[in-house]
Amino acid sequence: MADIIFDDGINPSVTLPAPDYPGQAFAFLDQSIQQAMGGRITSITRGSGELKRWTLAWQSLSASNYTTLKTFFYITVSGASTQVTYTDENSNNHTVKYTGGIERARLVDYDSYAVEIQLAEVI
Amino acid sequence: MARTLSSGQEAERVKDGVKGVWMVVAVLDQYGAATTTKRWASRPYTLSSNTYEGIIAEGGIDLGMLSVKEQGGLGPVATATIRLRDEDAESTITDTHVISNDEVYVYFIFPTGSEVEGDRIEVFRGIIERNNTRNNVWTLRIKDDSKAELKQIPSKLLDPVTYPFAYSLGAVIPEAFGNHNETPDDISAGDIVSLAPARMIDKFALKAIASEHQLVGTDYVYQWYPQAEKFAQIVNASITNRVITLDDPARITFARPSRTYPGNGYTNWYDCIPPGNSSYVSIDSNNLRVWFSGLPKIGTMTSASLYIKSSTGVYEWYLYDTTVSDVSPIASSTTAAGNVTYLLTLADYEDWSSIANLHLEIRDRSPFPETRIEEASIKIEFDDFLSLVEQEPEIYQTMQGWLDSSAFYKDGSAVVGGGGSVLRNPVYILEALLRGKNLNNLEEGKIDSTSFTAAASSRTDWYFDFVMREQVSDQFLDSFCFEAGLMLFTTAGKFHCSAMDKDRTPEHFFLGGYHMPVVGSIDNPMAQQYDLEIEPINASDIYNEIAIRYAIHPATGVPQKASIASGQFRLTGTANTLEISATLTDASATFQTDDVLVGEHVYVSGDKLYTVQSIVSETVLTLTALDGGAVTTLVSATYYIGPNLNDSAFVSQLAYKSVNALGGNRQRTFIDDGGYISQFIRDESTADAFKDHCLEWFSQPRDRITFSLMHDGIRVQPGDFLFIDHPKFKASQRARQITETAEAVDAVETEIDVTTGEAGLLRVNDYIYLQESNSSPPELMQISAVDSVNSRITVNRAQCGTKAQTFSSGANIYQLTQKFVVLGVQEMTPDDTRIRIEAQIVPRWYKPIGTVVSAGYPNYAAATDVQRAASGWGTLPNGRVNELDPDSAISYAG
Repeated sequence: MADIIFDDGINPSVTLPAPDYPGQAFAFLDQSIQQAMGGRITSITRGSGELKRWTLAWQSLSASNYTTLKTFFYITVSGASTQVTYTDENSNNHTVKYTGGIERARLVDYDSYAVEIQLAEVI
Repeated sequence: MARTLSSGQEAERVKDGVKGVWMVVAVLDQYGAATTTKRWASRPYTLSSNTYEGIIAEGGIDLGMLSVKEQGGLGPVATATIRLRDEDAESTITDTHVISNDEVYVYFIFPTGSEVEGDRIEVFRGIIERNNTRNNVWTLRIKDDSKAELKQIPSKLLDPVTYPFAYSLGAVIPEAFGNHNETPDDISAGDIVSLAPARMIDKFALKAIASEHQLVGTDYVYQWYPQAEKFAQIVNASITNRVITLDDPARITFARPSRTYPGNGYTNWYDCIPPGNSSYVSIDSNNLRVWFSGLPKIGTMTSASLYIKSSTGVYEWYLYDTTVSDVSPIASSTTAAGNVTYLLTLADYEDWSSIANLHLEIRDRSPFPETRIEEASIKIEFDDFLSLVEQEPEIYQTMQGWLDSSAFYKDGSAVVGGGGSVLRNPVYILEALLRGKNLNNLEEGKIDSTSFTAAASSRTDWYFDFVMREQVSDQFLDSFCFEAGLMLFTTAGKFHCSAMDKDRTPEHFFLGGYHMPVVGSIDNPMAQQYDLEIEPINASDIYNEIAIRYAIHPATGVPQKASIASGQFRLTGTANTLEISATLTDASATFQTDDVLVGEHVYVSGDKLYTVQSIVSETVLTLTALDGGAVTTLVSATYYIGPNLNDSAFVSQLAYKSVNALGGNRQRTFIDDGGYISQFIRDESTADAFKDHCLEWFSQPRDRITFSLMHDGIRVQPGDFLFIDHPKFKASQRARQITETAEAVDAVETEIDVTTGEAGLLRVNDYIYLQESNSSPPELMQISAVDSVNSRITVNRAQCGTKAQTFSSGANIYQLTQKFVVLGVQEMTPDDTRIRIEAQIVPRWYKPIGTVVSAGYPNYAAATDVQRAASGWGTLPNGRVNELDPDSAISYAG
């Protein structure tokens, strides 16, 4: 699989190997649903579309790639302060913000980090 | 009035699946600089090229309930909280802007793709009371500031610069509303003096003013003499530009008959006391003999004369001075006809007290035609130079107050049409109180003219006549609205008015199983419950002894009249009543011995209220029904007699086992200090209307309900009237299935065939609804014609916010007769898309007629209670199954 790319549009982009568990988008519809006793169901859709949450997981990310990942999200884009273009392994672009995960990375072997990060698609 | 939506929003409202965006717009200012408009929304949103940042936090819009007072009055202030995500430091605008008291608007919109800012639905407006930031959340506390716009009124004072020679510096210049044009010299029988007080504005030039906004007309000026408890006309006073000049000392007052002289033959001698010809003593073979009242000296007497007013007949008169002779008159005429004026010797009476020595005798004379003596008095002319007056003289003027002129308002047009009239309808006066320059001085744009116009149409027969002679606060509006039966509240920056009128047409219709969301998880239908709370009114909020004391005397402030509805009775027994002779017969009674009076009220248990028309004998009365109908024929009915007995009050006192007087001050006799004293009502018809209003709305049990609506309830506002049907309601509050459609009904036809022979169960103006299935939209219709022969009804489709639907043949037709009034609305928010409604039942307005006995019912003795109630003939004459339970009037047969 092709590498993935993070790009904040200002600084040099970051390229990382594709996650072991390819980026998975979970979609939510922001909708309030009401039901009447007679069976009528009404809904008010509060968002303009689906709310998507991405999870990218690496079982064995090298120390240098781990540092690159951490530096990009912690320093370059200051966490969720700046939105990022995420180019997935299929070369599809998504506008996302980082919402966490690096802090739970574990050193599982020599030069090998298990990392799972979460991204929220900005709509 | 129901909220009006744009056509695009209205089209979305009735859809089941919609989009929704909540917006908050804040107009923030800074010292000496332009304002900054901030736009936030529940999600990133662009509307009419304006960008709304989607930073409203979770739980970020918390709207309080907008309420009105259930008994009428000015609604309480509502509050709201807005929470914004502050990661991007939105709150730092407080570094440069002073946001306190800046306006914040909360809107909702159904996005359609073509919506514009004009489509926004304003759900709250207020000002920022305070704000704080914590945990990256910027919280704005918002309060409704509409009450802050209400001032102490009237606002124009006797300031020492403009009025350096006023007596009462700092006092207000009075403001009068309605009619104050009944002088002590021309009042009719049964009427009372009504004058407007004036303030002296110049003690040296002797100038006064009663209102700067009165209708300019031919008016008269009077002075009140407390020592004599008398008004005297200031004869040569002039009124220019509404300013009274009273520098001429001439006054006129009258000494009138005060008691009878021995030999008087008329019990109604007092009918010659009031001036004018509306009351009189008809002279026959008896003599009319009366003393005149004395007066303390209140000026320098310049003339005294006897005056007799008679428009019919011929008579003899004899005036005696008891210090001279009670046998030989000091003056007389045996050929009098018409009005008589006889000048007395001034020297004999200029000490004033000698007037009390005079007594008058009037005799009929040949050829003895009908002779009416309409007035007898001693006219006293005197001078009062006011030279020694240290206190402000009490000056009064006849007038019609508050001329409806656009010049008297802050802006805009007159309240009624082109203006020029004198406002007496309390709704119109309320608008004037809000918009008048000398009053609350609000812009016309802050009045919801639609709701005021609708409320005014409910109060066309109510008249308020009052004077504001002291400054009052917004609590005055509370009292005003209570006495006028009005709910006043603010929303969307405007004052709205709603009349508590049971005959009002509802604006909405909601069905419990269709419009009201359930409580419980959407994915667990087994755990779902109806979201409905029913709470009867507190016992202490029942008022069932109503004594309205009204017509306040302009000088003494004492109410001069009373309109009473009491549950107290003085006689009771068991009697037979008979329609054909309109009689009540109680073989055990002693009506004459017990001094039963013509006009006393009689309540026949389970029937209705009557007045005694005559006392035929100790055991027989003739009755007149107050409702104009016939006397009901009854056997062994319990009756109650009392001077002010009222059926509603009586039944309420029995049912609640307590007597709660309106105003908290029970009037036990007419002359004690009890009762509710009206500040605004002067005429009898309005007092009776207010009394009836209190009885209808406050003396009977009334349920308050709380429920939720889905988004299609967004048109509901406080004060609106609703039709509701809910499976959890009491039987008396539910809609009833009357008949069925006998044909398929499309969405446009207005003639509907119903089950053969059942069209007659409905009548013109009835409201009915049909629903194809439990989950399909119901449609409310109003019947415009009933064709019993062809079993067909003609209807107006899609009433009260519903949309025309199609129905199959055999669809049930339900009749609605119970209205509710909305007391509170809590708008939906992004986190809770239910609209919370508080409502209360409206007094019964539907008077059923006809019979609905179903075939196959057993006879009365064999029927169950349910069958008796449903049959119609099993109920009491008043339609109730149980006399004390208004909710038991479920037979629908009158």
